[in-house]
Amino acid sequence: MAFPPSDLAAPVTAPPEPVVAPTVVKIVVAGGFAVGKTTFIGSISDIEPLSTEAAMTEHSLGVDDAGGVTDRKTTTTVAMDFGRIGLPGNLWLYLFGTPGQDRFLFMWDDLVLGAIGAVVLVDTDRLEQCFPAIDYFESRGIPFVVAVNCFDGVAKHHLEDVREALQVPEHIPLIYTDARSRAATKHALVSVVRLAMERARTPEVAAVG
Amino acid sequence: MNDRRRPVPPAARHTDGDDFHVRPYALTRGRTRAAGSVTLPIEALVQAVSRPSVSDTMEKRRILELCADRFESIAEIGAHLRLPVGVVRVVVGDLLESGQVRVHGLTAQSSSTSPASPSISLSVLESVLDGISSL
Repeated sequence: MAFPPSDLAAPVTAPPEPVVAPTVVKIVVAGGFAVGKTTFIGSISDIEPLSTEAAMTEHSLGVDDAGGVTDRKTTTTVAMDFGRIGLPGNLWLYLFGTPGQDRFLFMWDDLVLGAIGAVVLVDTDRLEQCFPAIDYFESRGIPFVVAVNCFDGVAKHHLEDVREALQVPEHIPLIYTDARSRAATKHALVSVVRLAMERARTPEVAAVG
Repeated sequence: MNDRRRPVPPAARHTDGDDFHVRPYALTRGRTRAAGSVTLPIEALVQAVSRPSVSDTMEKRRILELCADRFESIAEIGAHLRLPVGVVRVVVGDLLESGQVRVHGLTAQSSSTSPASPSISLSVLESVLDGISSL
């Protein structure tokens, strides 16, 4: 289990409550199961990462654990971890981690609606895990950066090799990160916001993708 | 058979007495949408404008108490009260209809039809960039 416990809902000493409602913005943190999303969020969040349940009912067609084919309505509960950063100017930035398995892609539309952009965390030992996230954000024209998580602070691969393996186009930023490091997380978030600003200035780029 | 990698739902992890024993949508009388037509973003901030009353359901009272003197997002309400986000949305939607809460943060995104075009203004993005950089 690479995930730290995410049920640490204990209140953390918070800054004084704002009187006027803050402006809320969000960035989505995606990537495969146990790639370090909650650690990434926790490295910079003002609050201990919280976990909330998103229960959903979906018509599913698939193969169940016993090998039988199922075609039925199922209710799934997934845990979604998130954090919050208070910024000057009465801004609250929320970081939402996507539920970690591909089969929950369908609920991402809800998560990414109105988001500044996304960080896709990549574990180079399990590259394939991040493909659904990259495909998802690219197909929807959502600004995103691909951040290669160096688990031991050691870059095992050259970024160019990772770019080639992932077939990430040149216009998508690819960076190293360390999910445990506040400075590295900051850098990743700054990269996303910069990209979103470029897109906002030249909207046609997003359309071309 | 117990090695399935299913995340343990938060409700099942806590043993401090207020575990969730009721099927979630029983609290909303089976509805998955609130009375109003808006689907509240998970980051929308809720602020109570009236005190809970005895005629309110338990969930309404808990939400009104939690948001009495602070702004709490839909996601945070779900985490603190251990209610699924979908249930929080319905109950907050009802409270909004009845004028018991205000919901902020519905304007950060425009009415753009595409979820792919978050039209956050450049000035907000600049403030976010400066803010993160100054951390």
